Amino acid sequence: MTQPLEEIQDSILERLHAGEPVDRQAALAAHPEHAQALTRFFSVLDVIETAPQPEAPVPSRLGEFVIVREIGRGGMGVVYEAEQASLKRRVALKILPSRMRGDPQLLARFRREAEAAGRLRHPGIVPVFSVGEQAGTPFFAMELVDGRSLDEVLGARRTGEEDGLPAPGEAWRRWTLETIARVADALGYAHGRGILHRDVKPSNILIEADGTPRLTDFGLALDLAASALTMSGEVFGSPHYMSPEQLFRREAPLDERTDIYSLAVTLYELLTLRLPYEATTGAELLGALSNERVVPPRQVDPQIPAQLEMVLLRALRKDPRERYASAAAFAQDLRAVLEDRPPAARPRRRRAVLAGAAAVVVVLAAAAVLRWPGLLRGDGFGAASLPGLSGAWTPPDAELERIARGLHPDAAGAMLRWIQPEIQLRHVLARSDSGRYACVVTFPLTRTLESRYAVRVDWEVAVNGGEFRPLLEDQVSFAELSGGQGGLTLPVSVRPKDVLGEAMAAGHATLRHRATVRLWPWDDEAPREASAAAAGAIACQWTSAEEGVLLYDDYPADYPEAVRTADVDAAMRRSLTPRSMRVAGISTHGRSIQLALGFGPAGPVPAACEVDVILPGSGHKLGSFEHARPEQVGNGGSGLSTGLTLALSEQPSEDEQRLLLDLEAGRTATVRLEFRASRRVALDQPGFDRYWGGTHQAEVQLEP
Amino acid sequence: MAESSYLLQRSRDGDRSALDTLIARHQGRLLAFLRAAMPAGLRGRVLAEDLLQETLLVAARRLDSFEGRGPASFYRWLVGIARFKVAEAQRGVRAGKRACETPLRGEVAMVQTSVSGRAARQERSVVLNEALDRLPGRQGDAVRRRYLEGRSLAETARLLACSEPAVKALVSRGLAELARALDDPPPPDRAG
Repeated sequence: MTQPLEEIQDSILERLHAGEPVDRQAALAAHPEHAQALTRFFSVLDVIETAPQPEAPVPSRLGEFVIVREIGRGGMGVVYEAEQASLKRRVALKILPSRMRGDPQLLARFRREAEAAGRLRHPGIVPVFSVGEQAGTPFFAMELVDGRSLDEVLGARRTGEEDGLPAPGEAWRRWTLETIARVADALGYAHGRGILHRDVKPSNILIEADGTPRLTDFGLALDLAASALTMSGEVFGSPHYMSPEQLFRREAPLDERTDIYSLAVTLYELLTLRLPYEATTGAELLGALSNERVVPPRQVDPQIPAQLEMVLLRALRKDPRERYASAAAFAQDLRAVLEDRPPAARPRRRRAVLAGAAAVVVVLAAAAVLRWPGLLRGDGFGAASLPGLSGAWTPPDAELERIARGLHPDAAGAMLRWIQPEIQLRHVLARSDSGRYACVVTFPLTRTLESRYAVRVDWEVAVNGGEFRPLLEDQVSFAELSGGQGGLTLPVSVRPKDVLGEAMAAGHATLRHRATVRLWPWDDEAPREASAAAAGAIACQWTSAEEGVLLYDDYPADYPEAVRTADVDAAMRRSLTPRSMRVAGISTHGRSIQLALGFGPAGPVPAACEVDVILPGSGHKLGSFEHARPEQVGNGGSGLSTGLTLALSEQPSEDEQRLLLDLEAGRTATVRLEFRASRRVALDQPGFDRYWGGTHQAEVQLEP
Repeated sequence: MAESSYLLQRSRDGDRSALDTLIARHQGRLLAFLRAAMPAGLRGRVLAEDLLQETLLVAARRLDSFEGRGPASFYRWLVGIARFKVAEAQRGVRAGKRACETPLRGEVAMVQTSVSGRAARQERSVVLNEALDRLPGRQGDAVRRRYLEGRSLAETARLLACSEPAVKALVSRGLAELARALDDPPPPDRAG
């Protein structure tokens, strides 16, 4: 019995796709009649699938430098040990990564910076000898330092390896402070000559055998911020060490305070062996920088002196204006700590209202829900084309596809128009631990996005008829709109001194607010953003509470009372109204349906919910979805959407077949959603501590 | 349990060598996919190898978010990320900039490129694409969808509006044709 050649080949492809090994000899032996064709088949696969080869050898010579060996790879390229023929000296030769070579502007800038850095002469700075280029490969030569980087030192510390440096504890802290103060001296020297480092981090600080710290890669960082965060939100390179102004790419030019911040992160890491913010992706880091405070070093290691913590936290301020103004001042305070003198950094007084365990909850006497007055900008889409306040704009499928993939020529504008964000200053509360003020911007999103958008909301608030005052830089809400995320809650921290803090201290106030929402494709180098503005007023009243409060879709005037006596089912129904379900994709082979499912439009999402998707006829459960984001408790969610893959049975029932047929034919179909949801609510008033749970059923039309 | 599922499980548990093995089984095809998926305007600016590198890095870091459904779904997932990377690079090039940092924290073995190797690699992209484009009828489409994109037989059949046996035949003939074309590239008939 012979099997047709194409059958055999196809089953081999199937195995390859599944990642299963293919025994070629066995295949040939099993099908001798096709041996020749199969041999050819395998060899063409080999040709097509030529795996990436390891690095081809770098030219053994660049200009007058003879390459000896590779000594390291860093974010800015590969470093080789080389010999400079004319002077018979060993140098470190750095070659830019290939992808940086194609851009003439970047290269020109690189050369300019390297030349400027080449003029620096300081014992704490590794000198750049020369800059050159051969066959399109730019390189520069610098002194070869015999030592190791602080990065390596940190690695050794973390694993407890012996590194020849002082043991952990007081001696290590002193060594660290002395070292960082010396690096700050070197930075101060360069800053005095108008040169920023821009990429201060442990791997750029080399420690010589005698303990002398030396800064390397001066001014060569280019715009790392622009490239360190890719659309996928992954952290490439070392954004942890970048200052917020570098990461957020603010318009104001960078100054020496960016280097001070980076050096402070390095010091923080040396002292605590961790980073100031816990974040594994760029988006998380940006979120943390927007919404979180640095974990105080003494919380990690109580042995750290309070004075040192104070100095460190000042250097780590998010707002550059609140940091040390110069590297010299930073160095001076570090030495003051060493010598046990009072540093210049003074702790800031906190208002009692936000201190300690007392938290503040804002109860809205009236909620003002503001909608977009229309799109202000966004080329190609005039305000007139917006459907206004009701009804969602549904772009034609092809356009939708391009928007979702970020390929639309005016992606941001089209996105704004499509999702019709609502901006609602609806609940204002602060929690004891993080002092949060939550405002809500809702982005109803029912389709899985393939590209990411950055969302930024700038607020201006006026209290009781006063002037509008902008919230501070680090109170700007920043978030990422991506994947199946629908509702965004953008929290802002409250400071006692800022406009919100003052309003809260007053106990009740009328807040007027203006906000601008900007949206731009996450990874655009020169973002073409679209923005829209909203304004409104709310009356607020603040009371104390321990943990948080369940926030209703629509606020009853007697809000606390409503919490006490709430009808759970009614609350669930309000908060879990499915907005829409759309079929994102159908794969008949896998017998699966991809769904985008949205709740909302703006109901608070319970802390945890499960949703079953059920066929109404047979009661067959197509799939289920679980959602839990305990961190949102008390903040008030604002809706969510998700992508869901539903698998059909191996032997599809009549019901399932009909569903598939309907969807494939572009007809709408009906499924039943069953929710189970729960959320814990704890207020510090008696009778407010209760567990909420509820179920709710809803019939939803599946739209193809 | 199939070997690949086991490897995937181990990879998710943080086993680096399992992930390397898994990736090694797919990266050649993925690279070919990238070569074939990159539009002409991109080929001169960005190396398929670089995009492969970025794709694998994202995959390695986002392994948690992969929801396996069916045997070929891991490869399809990789293809999805790769496609995304192509779009990203295209936008970067259009915006006149593409200065994405090469990740260097050792997650995935580095594929660095020397100056001299660059031209050869670009050439390979061009050759594969041209060969695919020269395939008669729907063979090229069938090869791209079924083989390079890892789509299922049923899906390919639907996309090509033909039967499943017809897809198998198209792929088989297409690959045989490719073997001839790649062995013996056509004379450069383009002027310039």
